[in-house]
Amino acid sequence: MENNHRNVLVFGEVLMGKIVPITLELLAIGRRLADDLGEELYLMLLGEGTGRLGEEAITFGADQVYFSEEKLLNQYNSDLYTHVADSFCRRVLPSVILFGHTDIGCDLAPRLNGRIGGGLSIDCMDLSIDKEKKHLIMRRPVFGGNAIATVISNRVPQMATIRPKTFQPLEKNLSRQGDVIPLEEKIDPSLIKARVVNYIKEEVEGVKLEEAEVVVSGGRGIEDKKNFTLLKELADLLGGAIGATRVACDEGWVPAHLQIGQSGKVVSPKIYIAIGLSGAMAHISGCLGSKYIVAINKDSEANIFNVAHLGFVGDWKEVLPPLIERLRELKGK
Amino acid sequence: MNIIVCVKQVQDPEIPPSKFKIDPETKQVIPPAGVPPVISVYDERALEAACRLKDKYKAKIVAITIGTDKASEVIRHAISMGADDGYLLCDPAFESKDSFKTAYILSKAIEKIGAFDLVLCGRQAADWGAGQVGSILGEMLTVPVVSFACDIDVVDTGLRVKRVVSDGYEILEVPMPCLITVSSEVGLPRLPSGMRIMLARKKPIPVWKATDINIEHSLLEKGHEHTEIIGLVVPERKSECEIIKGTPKEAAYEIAERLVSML
Amino acid sequence: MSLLNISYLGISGYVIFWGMFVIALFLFSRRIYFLYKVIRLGKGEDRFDRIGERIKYTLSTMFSQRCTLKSIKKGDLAGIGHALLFWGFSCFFISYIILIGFAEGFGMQFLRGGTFERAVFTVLDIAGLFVIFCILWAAVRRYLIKPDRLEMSFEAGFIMSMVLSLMVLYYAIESCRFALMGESSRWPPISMAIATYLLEKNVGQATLWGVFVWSWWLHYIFILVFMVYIPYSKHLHILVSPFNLMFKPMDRKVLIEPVSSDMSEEEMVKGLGISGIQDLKWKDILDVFACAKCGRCHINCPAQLSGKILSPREFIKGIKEHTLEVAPLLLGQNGDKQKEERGKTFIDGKVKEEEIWACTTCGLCQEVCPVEIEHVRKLIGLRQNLVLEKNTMPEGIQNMLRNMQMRGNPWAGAQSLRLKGDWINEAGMEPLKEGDGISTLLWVGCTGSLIDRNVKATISLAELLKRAGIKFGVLGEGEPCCGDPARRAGYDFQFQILAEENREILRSYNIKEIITSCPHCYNTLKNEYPLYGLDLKIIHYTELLCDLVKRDKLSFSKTTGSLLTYHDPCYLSRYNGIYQEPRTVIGRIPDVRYKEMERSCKETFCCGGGGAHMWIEEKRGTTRINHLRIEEVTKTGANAVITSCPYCLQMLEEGIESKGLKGVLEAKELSEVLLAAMEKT
Repeated sequence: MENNHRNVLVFGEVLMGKIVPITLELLAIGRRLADDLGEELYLMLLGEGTGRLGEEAITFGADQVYFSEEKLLNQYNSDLYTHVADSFCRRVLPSVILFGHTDIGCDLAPRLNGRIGGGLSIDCMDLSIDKEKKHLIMRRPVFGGNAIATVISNRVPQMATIRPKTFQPLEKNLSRQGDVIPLEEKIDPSLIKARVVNYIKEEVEGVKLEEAEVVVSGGRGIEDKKNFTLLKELADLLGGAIGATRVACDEGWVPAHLQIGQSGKVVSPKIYIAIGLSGAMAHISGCLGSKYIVAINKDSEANIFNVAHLGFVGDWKEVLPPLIERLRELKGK
Repeated sequence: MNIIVCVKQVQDPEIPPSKFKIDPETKQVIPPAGVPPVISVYDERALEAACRLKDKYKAKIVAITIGTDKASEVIRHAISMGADDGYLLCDPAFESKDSFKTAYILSKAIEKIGAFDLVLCGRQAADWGAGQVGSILGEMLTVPVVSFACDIDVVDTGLRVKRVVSDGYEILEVPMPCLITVSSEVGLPRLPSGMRIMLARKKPIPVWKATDINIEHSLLEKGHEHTEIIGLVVPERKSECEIIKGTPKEAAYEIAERLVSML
Repeated sequence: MSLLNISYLGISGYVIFWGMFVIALFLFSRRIYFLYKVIRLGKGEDRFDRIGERIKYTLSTMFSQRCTLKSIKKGDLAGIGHALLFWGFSCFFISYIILIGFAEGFGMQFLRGGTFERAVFTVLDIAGLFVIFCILWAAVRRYLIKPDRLEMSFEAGFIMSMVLSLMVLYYAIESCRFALMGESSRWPPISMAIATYLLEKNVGQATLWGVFVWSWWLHYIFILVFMVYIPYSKHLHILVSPFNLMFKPMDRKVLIEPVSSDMSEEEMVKGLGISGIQDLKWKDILDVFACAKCGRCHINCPAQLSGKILSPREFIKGIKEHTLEVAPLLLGQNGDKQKEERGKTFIDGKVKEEEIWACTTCGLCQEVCPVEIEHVRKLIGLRQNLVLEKNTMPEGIQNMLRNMQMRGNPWAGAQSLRLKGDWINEAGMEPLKEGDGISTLLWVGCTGSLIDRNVKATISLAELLKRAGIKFGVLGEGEPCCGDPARRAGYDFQFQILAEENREILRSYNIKEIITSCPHCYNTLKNEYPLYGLDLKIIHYTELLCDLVKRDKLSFSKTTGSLLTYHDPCYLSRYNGIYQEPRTVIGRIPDVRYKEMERSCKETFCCGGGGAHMWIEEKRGTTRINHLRIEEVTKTGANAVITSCPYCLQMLEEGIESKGLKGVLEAKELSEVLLAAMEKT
């Protein structure tokens, strides 16, 4: 690709004055891509107090950290962030931009792409560099995880959003050197078209689904609302959260925000316990990143056994009560 | 209020993996026999959101889709749900997986439809799931964009949009005209009423070709894609599942031991 | 001697007699005319075909009292009471016309006296005894025994005391008359015996005369009051039920009224399905007037028995009350009021939405109804309105209908798609191809090809057919849904769309006959598709197997060991009269041990899965319908309950499992049992 775009940019996210884990993960993969391209790794951080995070970011792999202490950027605003990212990219001309596949990344990356006309792939699970052509090669699930597509961008910047927990952050390296550079551009508040007027935090009992180490998930086989309390009991015992398939949500057995899969949430817990769900790919694609999948299903042919690590063919109603009881015993010790 | 809803017909995402076949050479998915294509999940919810606005306010809904002549079915479905009109954009030149091309074609069709207050798209398609056509279309139409809406209502200043975020909801206000992408949290799409089913069956669905909507053919030619799919594989899933034998109780104990050892 | 020749307070008896009669007749006719107009409010429907057959059926049913006597074999003896009352009172009715109307009113005194009169009174004397006995029995039953099917009502009590008074007065009149005449004879036995007693006791002539005159007039007044009261009460059934018998659906018990798809938009806006009495057919209105609230439907309805809100008796009563309430307004000339009434609907008025969804369309109410009331099509009409117009339905139904619309089958999700057509490999078959010369199609049905358990049964059936040397094909993945659940759920347009699409598919394969494995598909294809232009030979597999065993094309060599019973699917036995065939086939199993359930054949009890109930969560109620049925199965002591319907199979299995009877009792499809009884080839 003949152009004057160089360097890899990571769009960073900050929460409660700290760089969030996904940004550190992006720095790790960004570092590898930059090295393969023989280019530098940039990080962009927006909002008050981000300047002092620059040094830390450098220890995790960044070469240059750009930050803006602009108050208006403290909270994510789609219009402002798109504007800032756009004008920044037009100035520094990165060849690759990486986003987390998060609330911010999922909104910002497509909008920025629409504005600067790059090439974007979302929800990537693997990135690499074609060293000859200096291309970014992105691999992402398509058709609800039934297939994996390999995608390249014919335009710059080449952009990708990356699913959290796909990569490990680098070890902190205090000897790394880099620059922390402020962005001085003043922001015109009239750029805000869609204004956030309120924020409703959904009170989650216990652990948040996306952050849970253990997810207990149920599908059609759970049969009704009250049976989910048993799943909840198991999840609580394991310090985890409950999730569900589309069918279970559509039936109203659990709230819609617990849906895992293509049209719901994407989780990557340590342990995923799939109960009474057959494992349609549309669901599997939402939990494929799980490290260990346990499946309980009546149907030995169910697809869930193709992805699970440990399985039992039988009625979950006969398994769950002794399982809960045994776990209590073991934990009691 | 004039609402335009962009919908897409996709291969049924609920099909079992055993029926999912691809042609690695052409990087195409082979449609499974006997499984009818369906409207993309989020697009149907975008339609539902539009219909809910129409239930409450005076609104005209126009549905558009790009696809083969079979895709007129999704327009019919849209009309049966509550859309007033629908157009099928069908031309061999439209065949592309590139989001920019899709957005370009849609923007030209919207231009032809005329003035609008709101464009609704699903947040992502259920097949290739590029997840950006809405945003790009918004930029092309130079209107504000709000993504992942689950509820839309009319207020003095324009629209009030409830937007899904991972730990709750954001409430935004956005002036019209604007583009909103819709998330599944909108809730179940309605079942078309009897009257609307018959209406949709009788309604002619106009087909627009490239020349009908003033498309610059050169922009659709090969080489203009922003992204390109260079490989498509069905991941080999060797079942590595260890199946526990024995009674449910024995299995429960075994699972319990393993879980505890891992935590 | 005629009482009418006498003057009373200077007024001639004839004037009083005819004056009272004219008033009564006027009141009676006015009411009847009103009811006629109410019935005419209903939509047109041709029920006048085969009129001779209809009249013959009506007369034979009515006079033989077959309608009420049919339930006595189940220990319900009330039918005998009704029959005796009917026959007895019929005698009196005739006597009123001859002896009071003609003899007195028209002064045709030659009808009186002599042997004829004596014979008539002898009959009446005996009939009167039966009537009194029956009335007392009925009173004891209604007010002391209080069976479930009856309700305490003023109406019933009033009518009973009325009839009883008529009888007492009859004996009073006749015995006094005979005493006055000083005649003595053995006949008529009771009146004469009382007369003799009165004479023996030396009761004075004046007293006898006074009692005679006043009893006679009281008796006459009572008859007139009774005549006027009938069309205002539930005893309207005396007048209406013969017509209801006459206008019954002729070939099938249960009909469903399609929603016309040729309607213009304006017509559609007026309403779809049934929302008020204007949307009923005239026969539906006739139905509610024919109802005697006998409650046979109430005590047999599976929804009612499992504690749901629906009772067919109360449902009909609700419609009747609503009709009588709004009809005068609809018949009024005031245009505004008519509009106002248009808004009045049954739904959540006299009929609750929950009731409408509680019906499994099993049709037992119609089977046991003595007067041929059609409950099911009214309920489905109300569903049509809920679904097509108001868009309100249980969530399960909505999901099912959405699936049908999007995916062409009622079963959702990946499981369904995994199997559609896949089973044919296992059965070693190929889907039908155009031009392969096979004209017999095995129509498997969605449940039989999508749900694991039912697929096993389908494979057994395919194997049986192959062994019998039947050449047949299947459509495999290309087999659409017949649309039965959509029609039963009231989503009639979707059904019609499917019917038309399926007609084209079946025509394209040049199919001549279709074997169905599911009774619901059978009923739909056979009875409902002809309206949409598909008129093929449709056979249920049990019919085919029966034919095969009779022709010795299929025989069984192994006994089953277990005690069998057969659960008749409603849509096969009640809807289509197929109940002998499966029994014949089962009878061919060597040394078969078989026991019949209490409710079987045409009066089988629902499994709980019909009428789109496979997709409705059975929430309210004291128990589940399939659990009730399993309890009936266990009463036979059978180890295996056989059925020939995929829904029944699922419901029975579920029932066995949740009643903890696994291992004691199993549910089997007939094809599975038969295949097991054959030697391996």
